Amino acid sequence: MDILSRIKEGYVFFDGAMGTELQKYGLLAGECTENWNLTHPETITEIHKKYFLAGANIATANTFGANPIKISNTEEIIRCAIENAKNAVNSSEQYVALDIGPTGKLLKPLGDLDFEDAYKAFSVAVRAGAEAGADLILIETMSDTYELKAAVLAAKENSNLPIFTTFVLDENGKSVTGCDVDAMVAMLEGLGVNALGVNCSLGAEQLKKYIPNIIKASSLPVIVNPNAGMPILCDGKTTYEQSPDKFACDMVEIANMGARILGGCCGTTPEHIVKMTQAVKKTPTKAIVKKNYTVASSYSHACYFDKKTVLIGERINPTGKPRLKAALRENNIDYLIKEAIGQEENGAHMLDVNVGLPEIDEKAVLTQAIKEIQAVSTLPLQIDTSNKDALESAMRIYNGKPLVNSVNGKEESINSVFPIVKKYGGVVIALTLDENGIPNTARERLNIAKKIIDRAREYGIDKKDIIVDPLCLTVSSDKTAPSVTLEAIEIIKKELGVKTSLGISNVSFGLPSRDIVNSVFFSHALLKGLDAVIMNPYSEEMKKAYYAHNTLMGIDENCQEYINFASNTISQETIKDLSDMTLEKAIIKGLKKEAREITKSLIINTPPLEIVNNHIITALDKVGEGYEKGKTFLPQLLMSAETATVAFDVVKENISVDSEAKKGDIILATVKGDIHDIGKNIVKVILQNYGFTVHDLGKDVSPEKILDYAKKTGVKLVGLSALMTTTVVSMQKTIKLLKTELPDVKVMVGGAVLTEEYANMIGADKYGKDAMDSVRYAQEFYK
Amino acid sequence: MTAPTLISISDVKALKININEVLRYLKINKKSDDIIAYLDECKELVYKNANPRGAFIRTEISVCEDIIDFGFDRVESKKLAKNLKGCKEAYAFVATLGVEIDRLFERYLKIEPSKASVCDAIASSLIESFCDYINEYLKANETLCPRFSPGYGDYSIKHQGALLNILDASKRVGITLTNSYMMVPTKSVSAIIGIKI
Repeated sequence: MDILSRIKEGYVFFDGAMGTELQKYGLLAGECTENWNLTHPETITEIHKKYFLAGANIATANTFGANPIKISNTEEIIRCAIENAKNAVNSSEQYVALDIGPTGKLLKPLGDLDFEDAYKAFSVAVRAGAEAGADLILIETMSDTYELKAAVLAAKENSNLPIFTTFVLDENGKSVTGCDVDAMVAMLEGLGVNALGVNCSLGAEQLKKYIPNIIKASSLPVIVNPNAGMPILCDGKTTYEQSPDKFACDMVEIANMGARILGGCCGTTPEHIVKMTQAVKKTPTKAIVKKNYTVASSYSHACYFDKKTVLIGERINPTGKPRLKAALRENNIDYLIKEAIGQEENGAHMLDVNVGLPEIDEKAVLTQAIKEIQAVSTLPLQIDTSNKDALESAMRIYNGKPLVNSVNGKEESINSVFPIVKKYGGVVIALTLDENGIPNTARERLNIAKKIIDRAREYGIDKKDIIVDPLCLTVSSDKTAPSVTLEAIEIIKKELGVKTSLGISNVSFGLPSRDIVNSVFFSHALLKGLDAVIMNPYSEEMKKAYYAHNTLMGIDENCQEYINFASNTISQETIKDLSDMTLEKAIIKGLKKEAREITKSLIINTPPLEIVNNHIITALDKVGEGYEKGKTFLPQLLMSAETATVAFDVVKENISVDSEAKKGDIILATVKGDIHDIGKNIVKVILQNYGFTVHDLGKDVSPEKILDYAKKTGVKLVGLSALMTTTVVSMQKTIKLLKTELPDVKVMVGGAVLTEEYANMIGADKYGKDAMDSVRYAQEFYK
Repeated sequence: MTAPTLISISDVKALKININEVLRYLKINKKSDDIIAYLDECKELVYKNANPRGAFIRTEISVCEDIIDFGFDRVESKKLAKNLKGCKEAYAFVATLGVEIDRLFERYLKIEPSKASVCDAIASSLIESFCDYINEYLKANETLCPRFSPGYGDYSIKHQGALLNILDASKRVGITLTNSYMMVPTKSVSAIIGIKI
């Protein structure tokens, strides 16, 4: 019987720890456990036999750390390990799992391992395990959803074996990278694993309280493999988890909660497993219940389309936004990130990301934008593109389960979108239009929705992963358009039992004060049960409608969200006395709101360049001088810089001053091997404020990449940052390469471990002791 | 050797942040109400995003000339040997504030670098405070030598891997190493602490 059929029959038991047993046979602390597959094959087989004898069904092969990132002979070790485990099998209800643990490295952007490199490492292990005849793949002890996704994709794309995954929770019920149970389950179910659960870190007793959350979220068989006997010091008290009897007792409770696959992790022994299997077998199994949640997720949390309508921020979309268009053309991803964080802070629950412009490489830019936004925003994203390649590339590197915008009733759309969604997992927005356009009646729109849902089923995509957008046409050109849309929401929800979404703003196209029309239409749609809306999170009218609606419907507990919203609105509306405040003062003091207001009133009568030169730059110079004299401190210098940026932005909204203000181009990079980025970013902000165009290549940048970029752009000034003695070596290499290939390029360097002397030694042209020092050098250079 | 002991703390605010130390990191030599208010705001952000975790293990050591044998690693270092002189045992330990702190820095670097720089200084103070907390616990019944970290003096940073490995740090605490031996999360500390007889 194969393992998946076996799970349907009843409990399936994993074995216990391998390392703990090996220590009894003489494994030394710190020794490579996996090498024992080669040096002591009989011992490994003997331990697997003990666990089978104790009642385990699955032998976890001794391959936890076997991947090319950790060891050199991955294939050989995996081949032997699987063989050692198979030698212990003596019944058709005993299985061997290829064990895949984490690489021990953190993925980019916070760490230095590339997503695709992690994927490649796991692929080597998967192919070796599948070839050696493993019955299933266990991906375990994962705490980072991103690394977990790389491992699951490797397992899916390099074998046909069932995939079991378990992740690690800490005492707060989250992974150490901040991911909660719902997000983990949403992503894994989307990716199509066969069973999921938790292992390691905590003992059964502490883990117990989080099991119901997993059962509640998941439609799959749930695995629980806790630790035992590992000391934990919490708040100054050490606890040891726990004797085999206590372990068995807790595992019975966990089985009663509905977990189907049970075993042990660190510290568990054959005795734990025998006690557990004997006790759990007496417990009747609980049915595994299919759940019908519509859910998207980020690296940290899940977003359920449930009682409260989900607000999807629409601002990252170049349509009608000249500044965003310009940012995309200049590959200025920072602009998109600011939009993302701004919308998050203004109450959006998810963010739409659309970078479609005819003149850019949409696949490359969308992928980069998603990578960078997901690194700093906690919100789940909606990938918005009509380019199939861009969609696939973005879904592959997305850290979670995304929303996909969109599919429609056209065969071409269905055939290109659904295979990608099925493969990577996602929730799809289905637009009710087809080859004949957008139908005029609600009934016809429902029919298209029905067709899309049916076709999705053929691709193995469940109805719960479809959200229907019945589309909204402009009221000024068709007065019945809004009522058709509202009727469509109602009947689609009622008759098809799916969630609905709407892009609101189209309704008011061509009308004055569009916000008013939008928000009232939104209120009507809310009453019809609209589940999600694509909207502008900065629109106060929309938010008023939303929070008031939730309160009136009794879905805002204690009216708390409404109260928070209303009190913020009032404080923003308080009129500030700006009479004795000048723009200069506002910048020096770092008062952003004031700076914005004053600039807005200045711009009416003052030429933009005059504002820049006579107000903003003057203020910055004062702050800069204060900093150089030790009177102003770094955070104040930065706050002034940020405030100046706010004033600049107001000026830019009114007129393009870019060409006049630009002082010269500078490439900045944190060198290869170095992932500390703060220093470089501070220098960047200050340089930008002084009118320099900064080409920020990021952190952990190779000498070759810097050289190529300098060659390509012809920029003659390069700034390098390194924080550690170990990475100053890469700085030296970079300088050497630049000097050899591009002798007229000047290099300035900075960073905690550098000194003037050290900088000279490695061949730098300038040691920048702080941000202002770099500004002065750049000014000198471009004089 | 037994398994490493995992260290956690349920209320992160039990760890104090020394404001004078933060001001020193930021090279701010005169306090004003504005600055203190700003620091308080950043303090809240750091507390909210910190998830202090650590692990320690007690190990027998032997020191012979400049060579220290930890059982799990052999280290050649004059300064560490001097530090551990006369010790028969030592603690290996790691501590971290978790990766959400790094995400906080990344986020504010994009939108408000002033906050990133202040949060960075506060987080440095917080991880120190967490290390002191662990030290206090460990020294309850014995006298300890000062902490000594890989990368300090002639104790090569290349020994970082062995130290993290014996503590199962990537698996249980979430500390990983980059190719250039930097720890991620960046607010992490690893060290050896000799136990005086």
